[in-house]
Amino acid sequence: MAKLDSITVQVIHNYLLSAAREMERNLMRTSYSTVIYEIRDFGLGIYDDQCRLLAEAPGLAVFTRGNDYGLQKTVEFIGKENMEPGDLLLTSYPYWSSAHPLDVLAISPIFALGELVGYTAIKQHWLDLGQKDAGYILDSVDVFQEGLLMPGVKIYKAGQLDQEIVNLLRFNSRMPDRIIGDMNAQISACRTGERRISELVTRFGLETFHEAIEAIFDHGERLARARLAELPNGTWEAEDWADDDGIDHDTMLKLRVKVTITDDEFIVDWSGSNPATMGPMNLPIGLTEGVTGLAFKGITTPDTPANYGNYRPLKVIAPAGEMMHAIPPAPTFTVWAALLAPEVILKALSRGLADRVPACSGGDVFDIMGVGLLPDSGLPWVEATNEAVGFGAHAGGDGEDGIMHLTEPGCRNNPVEVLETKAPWLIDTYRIRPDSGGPGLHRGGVGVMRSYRFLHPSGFLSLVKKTKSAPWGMNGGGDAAPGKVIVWPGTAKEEVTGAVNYPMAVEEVVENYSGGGGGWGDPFQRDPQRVLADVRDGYVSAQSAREHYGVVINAKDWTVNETATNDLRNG
Amino acid sequence: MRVSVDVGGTFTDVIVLDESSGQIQLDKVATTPANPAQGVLDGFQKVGAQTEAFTYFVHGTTLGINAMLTRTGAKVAFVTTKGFRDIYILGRTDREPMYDFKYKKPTTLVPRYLCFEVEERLNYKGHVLSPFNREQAAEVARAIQAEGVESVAVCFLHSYVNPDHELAMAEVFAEVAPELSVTLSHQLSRVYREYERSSTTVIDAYIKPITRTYLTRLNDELVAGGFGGNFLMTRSGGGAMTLETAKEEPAHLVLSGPAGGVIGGAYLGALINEPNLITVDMGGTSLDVSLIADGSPTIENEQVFQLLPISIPTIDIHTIGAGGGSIAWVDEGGHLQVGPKSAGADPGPVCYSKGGQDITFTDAALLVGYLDAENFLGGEIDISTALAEEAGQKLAERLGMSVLEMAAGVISISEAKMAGAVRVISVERGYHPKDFALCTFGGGGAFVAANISRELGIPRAIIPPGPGNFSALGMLMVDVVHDYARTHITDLAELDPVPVNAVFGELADGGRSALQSDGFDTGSQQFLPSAEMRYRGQEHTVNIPLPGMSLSTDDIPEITRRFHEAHEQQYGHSMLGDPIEIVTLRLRAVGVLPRPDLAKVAAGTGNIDAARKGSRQVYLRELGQHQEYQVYDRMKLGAGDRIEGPAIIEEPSSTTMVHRGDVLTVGEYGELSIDIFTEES
Repeated sequence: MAKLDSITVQVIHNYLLSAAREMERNLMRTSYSTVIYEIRDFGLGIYDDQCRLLAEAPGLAVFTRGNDYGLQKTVEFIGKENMEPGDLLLTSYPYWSSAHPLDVLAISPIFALGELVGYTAIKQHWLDLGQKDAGYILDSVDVFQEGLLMPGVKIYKAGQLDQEIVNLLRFNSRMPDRIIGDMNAQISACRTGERRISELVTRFGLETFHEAIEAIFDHGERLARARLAELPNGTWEAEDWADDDGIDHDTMLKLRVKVTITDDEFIVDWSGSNPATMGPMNLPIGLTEGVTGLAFKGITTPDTPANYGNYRPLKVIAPAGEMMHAIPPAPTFTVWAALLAPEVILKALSRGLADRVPACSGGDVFDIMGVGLLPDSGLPWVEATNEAVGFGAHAGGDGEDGIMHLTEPGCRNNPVEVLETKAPWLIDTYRIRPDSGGPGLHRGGVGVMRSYRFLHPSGFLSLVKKTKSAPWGMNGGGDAAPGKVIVWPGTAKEEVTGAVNYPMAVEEVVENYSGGGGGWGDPFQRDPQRVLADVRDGYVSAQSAREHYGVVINAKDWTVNETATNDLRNG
Repeated sequence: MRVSVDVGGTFTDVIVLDESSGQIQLDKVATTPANPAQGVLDGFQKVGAQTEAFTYFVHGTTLGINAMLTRTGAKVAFVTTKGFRDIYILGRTDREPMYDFKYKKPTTLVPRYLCFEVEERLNYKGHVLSPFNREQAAEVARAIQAEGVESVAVCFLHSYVNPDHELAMAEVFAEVAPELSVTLSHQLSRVYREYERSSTTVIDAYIKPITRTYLTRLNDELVAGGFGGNFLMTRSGGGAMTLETAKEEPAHLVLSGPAGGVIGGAYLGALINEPNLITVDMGGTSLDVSLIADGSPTIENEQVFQLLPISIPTIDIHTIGAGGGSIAWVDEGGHLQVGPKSAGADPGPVCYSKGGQDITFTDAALLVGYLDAENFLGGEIDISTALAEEAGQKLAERLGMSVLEMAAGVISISEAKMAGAVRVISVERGYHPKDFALCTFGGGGAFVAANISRELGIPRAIIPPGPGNFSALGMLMVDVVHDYARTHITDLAELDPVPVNAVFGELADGGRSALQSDGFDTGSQQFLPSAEMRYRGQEHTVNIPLPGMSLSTDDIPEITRRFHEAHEQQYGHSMLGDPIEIVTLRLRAVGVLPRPDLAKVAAGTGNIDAARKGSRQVYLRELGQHQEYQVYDRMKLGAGDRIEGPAIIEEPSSTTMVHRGDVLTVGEYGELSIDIFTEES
């Protein structure tokens, strides 16, 4: 047959994207946990038989490219020849799955016309599976404290559920009913994708399908290369710091990156970052590759759906045994260096491409979590929410206020009414943080604040590793306010901190503040009318307007005091 | 005599139905955006309708959704619980584009400086933690008044369980600022999630003043013209509501326009014995797709319009940016793309000769021969094939294709996207397209009906009579509907019927009195109870129709069976042993209106040559060459007439493609029914 026409390729591509969306809907609608249906703590994709990404659906962007690696390693370990129709595999070995062991990767091989044609893969957060502490791990020293490790375990073998493995899972969890309910949703969503792709291949035939996916990859590659060609060649370096590794609380952790752009390659080298850490801040290599890919995609082709071809020009270097490339049995649970990594790449690029990349965002996902037993039923509970940050400002405009971090676009905040219904919490406040955005010609976005009052003795965990250094501004723009967690605010034991795991008594309070985004350009150049609007809306205080922007506001009638402003700005 | 008017973005469609003869008369006039009521009155004039003869006037409008789109609604203040000023502004803080580090959320309908806090607090059980502070609330009301606000949205935390504080806030406004229109969240939604409920409330408040002004003015003009009948508005959730309810709860009008087509589809389906229908309405800029299962439109309890959520029951209408005006372009990877940008009505497609430079779907349809330049809109618009060819040549060169290959590609890509939209509301919801017929209307629907059907394995496509005015026709077929819901969480296996029946009793009382005041006697009232259920531990629910409003434990096995079956059907799995819980009891109260009969068309002579206008060459991508299509005049076809493809059926507002192997039959009501050819059939 002649080379496949591009119109048929488009038709097949549309079908793949629609199948990924259908998997997402199915998962969201049938899951048992707020982490899935409210927060969307999952990443899902459809792959070809060589584990190359064909289509994905919005969720945690940080998961999806890591899934590519997890799928490859699982298929390598089990053997492609040992895959049967109806199999369903679970992988939670972090050095493969590229996430901690509670983020379990489910994989189903897709068969059509008698051949293995691809895989569906979904990674999602399981609430509890054999890890040493309820909820989350902040201080493991090796992987064996972090949860049940599954290396591509076939929970379904040729369509038959293995009840013994279900029992194994149940007996290793503090919340057996919830995790099995969520797992069923995860598997059902995999099956949905499997059916759709099988139908697609059956309809178009193997030859057309294979030609089409090569064409989809080539097209994805052309899109990325077209944008890459617009970028200047050069090498830029940057470093930034995460708070600590969870064991040694006094030493900050260095992320160092060298980005090189050539005519046909985009090389990201993490050499010289922190050595392996004693606590769980090490990154599996698949995750380092995944978040590096996320930054690359955002710089080159943010406006088209991702596929394997987009990433062909990307090369990632991270020496084995360092923090950015964990080797067994190094602890990896917290994985928070992965959140900062794409920001550091943008920081390096800001030195050569100041008009193309934004300043730093809030720099973290500001996740907090509560665990305990429900007062009425005595059943265990785990609830969590990530918090929105400010986006960094950029040459084209202000950073967005109150928006989920770069690594988690599809993720949503957990509503106040939902949290109060599901957990013995009373939320006292949930609002934006005035003045937390970095000042600039373009203002950085503001972060948010939420406070929690415990109504029953419970455990509290905060998963925050970017509080000791500020999100940076660019091109003369100011830094933003970093995030922080305040435990027992306004009391004698008040503690301003980052990641902690504390028992809380009744009526004790925690406040979670997320970071703002850095500003871009000289704040004295900002249109006073825009400063006025920000003051009126309360994103910027009158005092900050005066100090940082040189703008004096008449609060009585909401006008700019022109004379005083000119004096400040020119004086 | 019944009359309906559908005010769209470009045209206002009018249909008059004579109930005694079943004859319909239809026409369209230009929409008058500055004063939409004028377009309606123009429409009456054009069809020569006598206002005093109207028994029912049924109306659908896009006024509300347009105001949202263009941000031209009321100046609204948002009032919420102290400590939570930003729940509306922040929203859920997510975004669809995965990799856009410069993403901006859509502008909210209320700026932050108009968001206010009132001292009050309930917990999730509805117990009062802090009492409602009437004095501080009055201060807030005065501050809002001082800002020159027209309309207020009130959403307090946990008001879905206990509305007392919201009601108290309404009293405060009535005292302090009686001129303000006030929307209370619990009156629209009794479901938790503060942002979604706030957004619903704000949308209602945002469109309420303009809706009231418009409806009041229109009614005044009609009454002045002698109108003494019933004035009904089509609702987003199906059915219609009275003028008075529409003024109070305009949030139910957001999909008022497109709902008409879906209601019409359900009506037509019942007439021609096609209870399972997928409706496709293709206009100039967008395509609306919906699904009717077993005679009923499918309803979603949460919808998102322009990224703003609204949590009231709404017909599940999926909209994509694909229409006659959708623009074809080449992406950086060298692939042809179509839409979502549209040339709109102005400048419109290149071939309209109004200055359009970009090839659109309509231009492509002209270039391949789907469209006849001589016959477009019955010859009312001059079409330039030369201009389309010139612009087409430029685009084709960039793609390394011939003009014909490019144009046929535009059609194929559009059809694939449209098929994708149909897949969303069918396959993705657990319905198999082979169990449905495809009913297409709007200006462009009949072009693509056969190929979309073929793509999805849909066995039959139906083009209703008057496809260009079908939404307006549907509006003539409405009943009056009120929806009620109450959260009532209970295990199904251990269901105690007494409290459940008591809830239904209360909901039905509300329904009866509402229908009574709408003018329906008991004989014309219907009550449809259902329950939202889930496996215990899940969040999302499946709505299951119940056998009646008075349940007994004997009904439990049947309800259980229905739930497992529905879960299996929608999501591909069920968990037979797992406990099931009821979450929300729902009641739809229906005031049944006498259903008018559509007139049947005369039987055909069997001699279709009389309807033949000639033939035309159409370029087909799969053949890589032209094929001859016979062209027929729809107006000259009669019931029972049968035409084998390749053929084209023309009428003033629409062109129907019947491809090789497809067989078209004219039905009793003049509908065109195309049996779709597939390799297997």
